Amino acid sequence: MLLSPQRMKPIFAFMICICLCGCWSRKELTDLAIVSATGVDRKDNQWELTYQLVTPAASASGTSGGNASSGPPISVLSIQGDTLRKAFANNELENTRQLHIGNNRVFVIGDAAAKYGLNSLIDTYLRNPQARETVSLFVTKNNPRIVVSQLMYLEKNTGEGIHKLIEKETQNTSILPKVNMFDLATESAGASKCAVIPELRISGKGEPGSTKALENTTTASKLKLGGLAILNKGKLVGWLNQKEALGIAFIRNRVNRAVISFEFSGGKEGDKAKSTFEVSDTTTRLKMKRKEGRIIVTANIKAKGMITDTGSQLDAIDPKVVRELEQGVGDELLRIVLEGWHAIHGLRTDVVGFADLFHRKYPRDWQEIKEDWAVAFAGIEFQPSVEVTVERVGLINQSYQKLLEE
Amino acid sequence: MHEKISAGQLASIVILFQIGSSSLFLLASEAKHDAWISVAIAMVLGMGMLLFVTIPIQSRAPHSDLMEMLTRYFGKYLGFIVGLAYIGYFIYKSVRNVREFGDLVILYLLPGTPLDIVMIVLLAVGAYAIIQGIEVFFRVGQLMLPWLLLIYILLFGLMLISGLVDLKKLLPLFERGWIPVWKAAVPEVISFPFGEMIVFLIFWKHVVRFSDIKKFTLIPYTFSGLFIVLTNMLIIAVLGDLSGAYVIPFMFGTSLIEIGGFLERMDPFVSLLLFGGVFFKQATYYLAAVLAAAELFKVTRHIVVVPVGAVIFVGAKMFKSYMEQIQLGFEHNLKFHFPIFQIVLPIILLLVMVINHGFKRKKEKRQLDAPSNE
Amino acid sequence: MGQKHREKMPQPLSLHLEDNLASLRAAADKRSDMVIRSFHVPTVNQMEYALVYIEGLVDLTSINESLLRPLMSVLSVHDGDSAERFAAIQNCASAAGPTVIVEDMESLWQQIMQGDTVILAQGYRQAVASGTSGGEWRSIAEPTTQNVIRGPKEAFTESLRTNTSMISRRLKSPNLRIQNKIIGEQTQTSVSVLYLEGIADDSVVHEIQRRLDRIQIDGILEGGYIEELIGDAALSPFPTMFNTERPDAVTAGLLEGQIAIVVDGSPFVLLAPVTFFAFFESSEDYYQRFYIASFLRLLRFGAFFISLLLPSLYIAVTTYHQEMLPTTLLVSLVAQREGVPLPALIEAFLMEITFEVLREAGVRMPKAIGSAISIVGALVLGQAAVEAGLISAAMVIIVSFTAISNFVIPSPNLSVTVGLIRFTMMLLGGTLGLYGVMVGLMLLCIHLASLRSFGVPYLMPVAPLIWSNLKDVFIRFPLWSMRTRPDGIAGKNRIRQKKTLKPQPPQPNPGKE
Repeated sequence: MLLSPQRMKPIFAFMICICLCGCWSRKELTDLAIVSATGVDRKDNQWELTYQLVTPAASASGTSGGNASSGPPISVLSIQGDTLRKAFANNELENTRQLHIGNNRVFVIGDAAAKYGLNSLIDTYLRNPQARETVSLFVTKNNPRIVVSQLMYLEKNTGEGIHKLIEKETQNTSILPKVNMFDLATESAGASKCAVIPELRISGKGEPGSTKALENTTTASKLKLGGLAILNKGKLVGWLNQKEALGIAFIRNRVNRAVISFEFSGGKEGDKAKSTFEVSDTTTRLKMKRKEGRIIVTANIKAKGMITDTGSQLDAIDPKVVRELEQGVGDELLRIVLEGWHAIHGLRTDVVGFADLFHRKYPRDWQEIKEDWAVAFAGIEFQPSVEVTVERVGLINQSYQKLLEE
Repeated sequence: MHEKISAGQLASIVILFQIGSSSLFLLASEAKHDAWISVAIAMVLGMGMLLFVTIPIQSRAPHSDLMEMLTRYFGKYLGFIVGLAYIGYFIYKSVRNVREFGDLVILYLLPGTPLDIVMIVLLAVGAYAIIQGIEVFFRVGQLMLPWLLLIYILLFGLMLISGLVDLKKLLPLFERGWIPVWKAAVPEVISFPFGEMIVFLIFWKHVVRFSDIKKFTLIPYTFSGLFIVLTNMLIIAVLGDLSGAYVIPFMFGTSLIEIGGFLERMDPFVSLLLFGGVFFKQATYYLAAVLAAAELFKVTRHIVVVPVGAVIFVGAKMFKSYMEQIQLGFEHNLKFHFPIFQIVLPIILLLVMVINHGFKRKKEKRQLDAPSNE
Repeated sequence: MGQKHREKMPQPLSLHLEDNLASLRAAADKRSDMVIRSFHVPTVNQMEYALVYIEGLVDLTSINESLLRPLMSVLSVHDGDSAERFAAIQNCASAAGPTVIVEDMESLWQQIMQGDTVILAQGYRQAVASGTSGGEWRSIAEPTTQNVIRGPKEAFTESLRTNTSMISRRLKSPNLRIQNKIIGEQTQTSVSVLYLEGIADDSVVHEIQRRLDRIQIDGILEGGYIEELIGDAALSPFPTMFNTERPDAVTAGLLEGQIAIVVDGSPFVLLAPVTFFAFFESSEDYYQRFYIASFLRLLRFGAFFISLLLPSLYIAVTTYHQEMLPTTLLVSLVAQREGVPLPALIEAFLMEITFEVLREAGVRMPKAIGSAISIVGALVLGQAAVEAGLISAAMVIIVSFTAISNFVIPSPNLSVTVGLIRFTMMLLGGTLGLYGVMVGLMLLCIHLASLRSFGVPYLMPVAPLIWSNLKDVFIRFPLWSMRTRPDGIAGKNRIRQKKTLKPQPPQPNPGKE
């Protein structure tokens, strides 16, 4: 046999050798500039990208070689270009290392850019494999460049820190949802074409971060989560405050845990004091029906949780008091939800997924109404109802206020 | 050379071949979120094809492969030409897989590496497997199958755990009625991947017990068909309307997995799946082409391995771009060219066989009758 | 075997003792360990006799006490005719050991070399060889390479007979077959083939015999020679025969239908046919409870993959697919590599080679200096190199974990093979990233699937799949559930044990109190 298996072996060995001649797409670790957060804005009719780069030696904890942090853990690089990828490519002109955006966790969008439209940003993200679609998105009214340059206490890597911030917030208070590029893409391309993005802002003076500032126990400027930005067809159309945002979160059934403060009279007239209810489990069921040409959406919100503080006198063992408590929480919850509803209703932006609901329920009519959904949305009648269960009242049954009275 | 394939090995290769790369893509994407229904329809139709055409062909000539059948029933010259066409078909199928894989590797894993190198390496591995023989190739299939399924199950599980799956995205069913769903299924999805079972006409004669063929082809076929339907549903349930837009929606879906801050970026696992799937699909066609060519030209197998590999390589290089390859495949081949080999020719072959058998029986009868007449 | 070198006519013994001794001396020219003890017995004929043996190969006390003394006393009183006298000599010789009558120089020489003592007498064309072989052998000791915590602590020695005796002591079945062969033109090494009639596959037994008979070589010094000369897949880095120094492992193999080859002069016994998975088994697996044994098995497979792939995956991920790493890890890796002058692939190669050198040095070093190696290795090469910034700390961790994983594989044969393949994997990982690693794995799988060991597919219970054999591959099922011998290796007799062996609580007997 001319080409027996045994004789083929050298050929394979040779082929492997050929492969070894080049390492075409090799990138050594030391050739990388790791991006941990990105800011994007529109300036002079161009895109401006701001990259927050991690300084490895200062960021890594307990590395051997090189003395401990001798500089800021991050540095910031700003570049401009006609398109996003052009701007990205322009970094080659000033940066010694290759930008590594695979580990970018945070994307901060300036409101100028958000108003201009984010569709090309989404396209870039989906098209290029290096970028993670799980990046957390924020819109800021400040200059994204300054936002990205902020330093944080406790977190050396600010991008990672912001990511943790929103993740923890979504988990514990659920006012602002964590939105990533994929969510934005699906929602913007979804039935209603509307999406939300949380706000990130700088409280205080809004200076670029410096390690000097971190030497004090409090800094002049600091990163904080703000309200909720509303986008329609990829463009910023309005803002919600935090209370409205929580209302929206309830309608969207995106609440894990939430904290609600409410007023409770505690049985005695004129004795009104604030109390806190922590929602630990909640579900929202949306139902749509049509009546005389009007679309009616009913939302049934069930919330369970516990009372964590109260300023009023109450005896939580008493079932009557519990019912009153539940009533009080329910009223407050309803108020929050309606506030949120009125806000988006006013903006005519369906960020609560009613369009999907309609699409699924009335697929045939959807084709006709699709184009004018905003109008139809404005005509929707929203009827929320709330069922609150107070499961626990904490370690003391009676309020301290009551104990004092007795 | 008496190479024997066990029933289990046949089943493994049928599954690997069917799943191949098809579960990574969204088949029948024109049907939007009803795509999985189209796939299910195509699967049932493909099963009918298998049950009533492909397997009956083999059972009429249990000990010969496609090439032998063609020359026997179509005559020496016509059979040779049709056989040659089939070799071309196998090679072209392999070409498409190799090229597709090359492009995807460059997109996802190795931007900057020359396409040629990626393809040569893939073909070299295939050639190495083929030189070792049918038996070894099928054995490798048996070895790899559990791993691939394991990774799939793992990824499915992770997707479920991380809460990406939203079954509501599958609703409403039949939004635009039956017609688009049916149109998406026929003939595209039948051609790819369900009609491709025709290639097993080359391998079936090597199975140890002929009686096993039917059972150990149909069960794995059904399994892999359901599996593809399931992955399709999953892709839609995760990505919704966007799923049609992605090159590899499954890869995209897995890149969204985020669990506990460290289980992220599962893409390499998916590319492992992709490699496994495409490798077996590509190599099955490659092997089929080699066996067919060796049979047709009456030469030993080892002589044709390298030339066939070279043809596949050159063929894969002929596409100008990834888009052209996709365009040609989905717009023309699936609709017009592949059905000839997958449906038309097999049916003709079966008819010829049936007529021939009837003829022979008559002849025999006549011969039997003749002496008594005397 | 050995037909060729006996083609010339064997030289018959001469009637005259002197002639025979002269030709013996000539043959053993410059061979100082040959002893010729001539004596004559003061009888009527004044018969001349000679004892010939090789010093060191024989048991001197047995010669003096059991052979020479009775011989002299018998011969001194014996005065019969020549045939009777020869019978008497043979009789006496039997007291010392089994006797053989030799008639030509060739076989005489062969007997001497095997440790026999040859008695030559004046006036006979025949001589008596008495089995007095003995001499110094290493005594039975604990195994040095395959240690167990629980289980027999004895290992094979260099003596063929001791070794076979250790096996037959464990396996008292009358079906145990021990067939001898002499292989090696110069070394004349005894090789025994052991199998259980009815349990071993006859065709494999014949195949092994045929391949052994084919060997024509000057010498066999160890089982390794045999392995290389008769094993399948001559060019594969993977071993297709299993070697062990544990008699219990060999016995277990024989019971499963394997065939053992014992080579004189080597404490390692070969077992064939084997599958790939046999190299992950340790005899202790069967002495521990099956949960523990199964866990250890899985651990070994895990260690195998780590040892094979870890460096290549590290290279692939850190040079091609950085986005796979969590940010914190990536940052700390970059910080470590900051200032390291070498690319990751070269760095890994250097470290791996350093490790292999250290290991080889550790094996060759006299034991007294051995500890110095660990100091040099750990301190100088590890810590100092990291501190000097020549290599990154992560690489040291990777390489050492790989090395330790490598030692977990019970068979040293396989662990060296894995070490070799690891380098190829590293090259592939360094050039084509994860794609390269996958290609390497696929090639490895194809290669393994193409191997056979004496007709048995190398990856047997997995590919081709045999469900019943899977009971003893990745997970060791309880002994009572393994009813049959492994399919494909064992011959006709497949049933290993009774069906109802699973321990049950005693059933209350209604008849008795």
